[in-house]
Amino acid sequence: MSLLEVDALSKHFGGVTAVDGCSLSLQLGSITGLIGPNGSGKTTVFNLITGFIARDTGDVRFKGESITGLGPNRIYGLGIGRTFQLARIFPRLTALENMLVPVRRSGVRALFSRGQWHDEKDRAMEMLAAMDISHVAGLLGGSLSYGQRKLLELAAVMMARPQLVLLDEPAGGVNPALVERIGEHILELNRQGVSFLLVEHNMPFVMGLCQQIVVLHRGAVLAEGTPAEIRGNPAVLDAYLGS
Amino acid sequence: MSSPARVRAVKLGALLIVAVVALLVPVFETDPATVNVAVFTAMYVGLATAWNIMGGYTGYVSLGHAAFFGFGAYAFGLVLAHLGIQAGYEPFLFVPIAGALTVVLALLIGWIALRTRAATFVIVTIAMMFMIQLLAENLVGLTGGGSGLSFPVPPWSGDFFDTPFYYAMLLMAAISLAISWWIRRSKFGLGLLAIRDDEDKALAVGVPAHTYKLTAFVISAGLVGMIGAIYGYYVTYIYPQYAIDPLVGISLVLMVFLGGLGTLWGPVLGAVILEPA
Ligand SMILES: Nc1ncnc2c1ncn2[C@@H]1O[C@H](COP(=O)(O)OP(=O)(O)OP(=O)(O)O)[C@@H](O)[C@H]1O
Ligand SMILES: [Mg+2]
Repeated sequence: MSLLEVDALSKHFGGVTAVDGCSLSLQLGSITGLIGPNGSGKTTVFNLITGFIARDTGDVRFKGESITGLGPNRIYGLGIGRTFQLARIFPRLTALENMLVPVRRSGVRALFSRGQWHDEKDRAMEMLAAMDISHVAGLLGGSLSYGQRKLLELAAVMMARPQLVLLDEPAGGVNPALVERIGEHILELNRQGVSFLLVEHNMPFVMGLCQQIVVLHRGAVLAEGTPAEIRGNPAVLDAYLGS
Repeated sequence: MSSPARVRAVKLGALLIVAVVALLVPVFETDPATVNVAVFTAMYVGLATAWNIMGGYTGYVSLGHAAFFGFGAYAFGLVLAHLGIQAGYEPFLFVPIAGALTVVLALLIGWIALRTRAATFVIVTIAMMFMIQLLAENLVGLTGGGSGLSFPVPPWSGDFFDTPFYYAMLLMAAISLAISWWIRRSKFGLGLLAIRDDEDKALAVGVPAHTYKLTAFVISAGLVGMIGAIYGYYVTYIYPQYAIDPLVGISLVLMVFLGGLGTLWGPVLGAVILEPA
């Protein structure tokens, strides 16, 4: 079954065509890679799917229903989480508080529930422990190292149990040992049933994690296939070297 | 060893002492000039605390809260006049109505102002304050325009005159503090702090930022409106430049910044230091 369907999505910024009729389909339970040269529109596709920017044309369907036009918080509520290319956490909240923000409490109930419920707190601590960062739970987000922020952002986005998570360069800017650990965390979460769409420039990392890879070039899909097929595709190599 | 419990006990003790001292001010201090300062100090503690719910927790700095203060005073005066309420203690019962009317105004203003962020929001709040002031001046039939609006004159005299107002202001300060404390430890409050830190990120993890900001704005404005209502009755006579005074809005922002933005007790500290000075 297809979990997410992106249909002929386009986005222009003034004269720049950032996304140009991009279509892709994600299978439930899969890890799909979205790769392409710098400026090929990967982050813009993420912003379009998650409601951060409005599309010009096209449609996005999640579990068969159109989510086009919904705001980012609604889309997260439906079960699509995301991380940012440069890890973003709340700098003046503690790591634990960072974990508790994403837990949903709608409407008036938000006013009448404690910021830190015990069961939520336990779950947050478990998640932090799973990412090996439980020792920073009480520290302010702003005092964490970049690698710790990356892990915290990934852990926090999982708190509302999203079914699909879009990761924008999860291995970007972190040391090789940590890259490996992040890969393991993603695989573990995937085993628990979470699907991923991930943007990444680290090719061994993408090729190792993903069953399916989509190559974006100038905002359009250039190629699609298994890691082996993508590696052997001359057009992909051209796109990377040519542009 | 049980240090969190001890910290808690010390905090509670300090709170109790502050509360007792505050409650006893009019008993031990009968000089009207001093009690008058106490009334305004309690007023600013309430105002700064209410302002902080929006400005401190969400980081949206409103320089136009004087509009809600003045609007609350006007609404209260008009309600008392229309219902024919006599001077005395009875008017205090109608303060929440002034608060409710201010909430309606804040919903309308917030709905528009909160579509903007940062500096633009600050400017929009200033603009809407002058708009409200202009309305107060020009809706002569309703507000009395430049010649002002008078309240029933409180029947108390001499040494006792300020006392009921002091306790009314103190009660509003306590209510504002209780609400601020409640919000600070709620899921809603955590969402507000997340918005302050990074609004787009907050949206990305499901915080309904617009609703949250509007709710904080409206709560903050409603409290300020009620305090403005008591103020109107205290001074018994208001006119636009006096009730909707930009300096009021600016000084409570200063108090919060001085005492500690986004903290529970910062606004109290700032008001107590700055107001008598
Ligand atoms: N908000 C914006 N305003 C104007 N142009 C934009 C905006 N966002 C992206 N672009 C442009 O759209 C194109 C695609 O950008 P995008 O960030 O989606 O690329 P990317 O594939 O994520 O690149 P990278 O690998 O460097 O992160 C680029 O030319 C970029 O300059
Ligand atoms: Mg990008």
